Amino acid sequence: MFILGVFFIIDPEDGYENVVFILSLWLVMAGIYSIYFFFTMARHMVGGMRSLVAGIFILDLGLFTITLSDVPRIYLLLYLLSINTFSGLVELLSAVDAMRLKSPHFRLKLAQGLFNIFLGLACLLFLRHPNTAVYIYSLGLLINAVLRIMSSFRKTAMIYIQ
Amino acid sequence: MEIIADNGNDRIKLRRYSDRLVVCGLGYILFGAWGTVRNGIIMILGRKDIYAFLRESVNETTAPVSEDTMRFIIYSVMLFFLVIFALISTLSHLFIGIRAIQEGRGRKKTSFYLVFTVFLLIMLIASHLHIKDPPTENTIPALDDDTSLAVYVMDFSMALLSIELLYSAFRTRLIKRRLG
Amino acid sequence: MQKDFHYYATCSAAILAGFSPDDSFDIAYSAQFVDECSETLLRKLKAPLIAATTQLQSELMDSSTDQVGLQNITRIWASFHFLPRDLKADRKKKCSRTYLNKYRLLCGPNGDLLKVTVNTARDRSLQAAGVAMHVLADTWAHRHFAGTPSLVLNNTDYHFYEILPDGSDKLIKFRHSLSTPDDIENSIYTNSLYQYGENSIMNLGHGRAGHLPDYSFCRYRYLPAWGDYREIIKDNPADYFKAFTQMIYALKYLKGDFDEFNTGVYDEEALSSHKEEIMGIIEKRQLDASADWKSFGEKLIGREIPDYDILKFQEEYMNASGKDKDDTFLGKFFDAAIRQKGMVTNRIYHSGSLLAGYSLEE
Repeated sequence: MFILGVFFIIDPEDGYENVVFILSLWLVMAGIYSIYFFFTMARHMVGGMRSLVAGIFILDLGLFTITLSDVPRIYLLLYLLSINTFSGLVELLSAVDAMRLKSPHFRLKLAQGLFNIFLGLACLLFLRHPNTAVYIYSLGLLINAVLRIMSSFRKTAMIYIQ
Repeated sequence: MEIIADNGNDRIKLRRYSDRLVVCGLGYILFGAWGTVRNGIIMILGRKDIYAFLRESVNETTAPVSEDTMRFIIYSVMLFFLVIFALISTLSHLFIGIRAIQEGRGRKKTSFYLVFTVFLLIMLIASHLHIKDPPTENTIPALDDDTSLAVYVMDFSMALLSIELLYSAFRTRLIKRRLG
Repeated sequence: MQKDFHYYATCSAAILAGFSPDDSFDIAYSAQFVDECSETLLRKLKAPLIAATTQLQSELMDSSTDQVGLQNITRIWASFHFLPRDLKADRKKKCSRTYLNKYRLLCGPNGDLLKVTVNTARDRSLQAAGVAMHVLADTWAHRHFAGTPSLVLNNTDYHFYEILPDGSDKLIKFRHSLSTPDDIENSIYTNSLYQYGENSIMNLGHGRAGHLPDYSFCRYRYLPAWGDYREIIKDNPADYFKAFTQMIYALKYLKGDFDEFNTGVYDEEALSSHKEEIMGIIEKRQLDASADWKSFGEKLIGREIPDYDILKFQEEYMNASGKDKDDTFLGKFFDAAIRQKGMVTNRIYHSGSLLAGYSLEE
């Protein structure tokens, strides 16, 4: 995410095409993983076919996203923003859950979720000025990357029991 | 109190196919909605080319009107058909999906949605069986070609889902009849 | 299971097995403490974190679901609350190794590990007996679920019916409201949210079935995710009764009344005049049967059973120093917990699965 954010800042005109490509690749891989999960695990599960359906859907979303790299920037930005805003909403819901379960780390999730949604709204405001919107979006990517790196440094332990 | 689970072969199969019917119904709604959105995006992104194509077609046949008026009329017609198409597509997929889910959950059983599914399946297959003409200057260009793979994947999956839905509905009804 | 069974019913079982009232209180306290001994508490006591026997909801929300995090979760829950029934189980249908390893963690009563659990507590402290009784009781309540986060094993769906006392079925409505108590009258219960991820915390144990396995009165039918659309009927009253009588048998063995503990044996004779009363408590439709079990136990010994107090032994442990900590009540409990966790982790590791982590013991 950090690298993608830097990409955007260095080359706001074309950098996002590469970003869209990477995003679409990620979606394709997620779709393939979901299909793989169905064949290795979920096919034994009651209602496991949902995993196959979801996998095909995500795969198609990814394949479609790949084809968008040569359309006007403004639409690409909208597309990226909607995905980002959606993930912000999901993080917000997750934060609400964490709050209900009295986890001390709901604040981080809440901050991330609100930030992503705010990012989407800010970019929408500057949609007529694509370069500005791109800079805002890349700033968002950088901050999200830092937040994720921070949360990965939470303590874990490798325990051998004798 | 002695309670015995009903795990006869037929009962297990009935649960399996009913659940599959529910999943197919959900998938139908999801794929249908996404297909509508995707086709809408394709049409919106290719609107200039579609406009140019339509403009050429009406050029010789209409009385002279201003360019702005012509643009307004053509875009309005395009929007109208886009909305109509989206509505019909969404509602039909929703209808089939909801009926499949209802039958899978044992609530309502109708046959019209199955007939409609067969109809849509035939339309889907037919839409891919056309022979592609060589491109001419009037051909709407390549946005459609770019998205081909995504469209094929989804349409192929949709076809399989339709077949699975029909098969599950058929098996469910057969087993229910057997169980009385 | 809840405090009503782990504390008060275990206390009554210990009394019926012939333990003195004070020893019975210690066994019961230890059995209930298994549900309290989290890392948060251990940090407060400055006790070894490895002795954790449970995880608070906030700890679970906070824990990562990478391999190390999952191993930690599985070690705790499979060792104390979802003891695997058969680590050599096989499925009729071909499946991947990953699936099989998880499938083998399914909890159930009368498995080989139960025998080892009870034997591990033999000739040890009362606290060890309490830990073993908690594990034994949970094998009945939590059967058919696994102590590892797994969508493909622990998920449930809309096919979930309560079997009412008159024999009729009622569709159970699940909701996700933690603050609202379960509504027995209308069969509305709280469960964990459906989460698509295989290793999501929401898919740990019986979360997707809510507290239903912990209500002794409840009978229900549902489709377990691993069951190939076979319906399971969970008869909690029958299971809880078996758990109680098996506890009496196990406690008599731990007391030294006989030389061998066998699975599938239940001491119903010890109940004789009390069976109807016990079934009455078990089958009574209430969210918490503590008062009834307490009253039953007090009738057996003719004196009051102290209420469960989590703070009771903490000061003793915190005030002790160095090696003396091991001789305190909680010190003995931690020893028993570490032993149990080590044993189960070792067995899971030697079954060819890394779901509970590595074990150096041969």
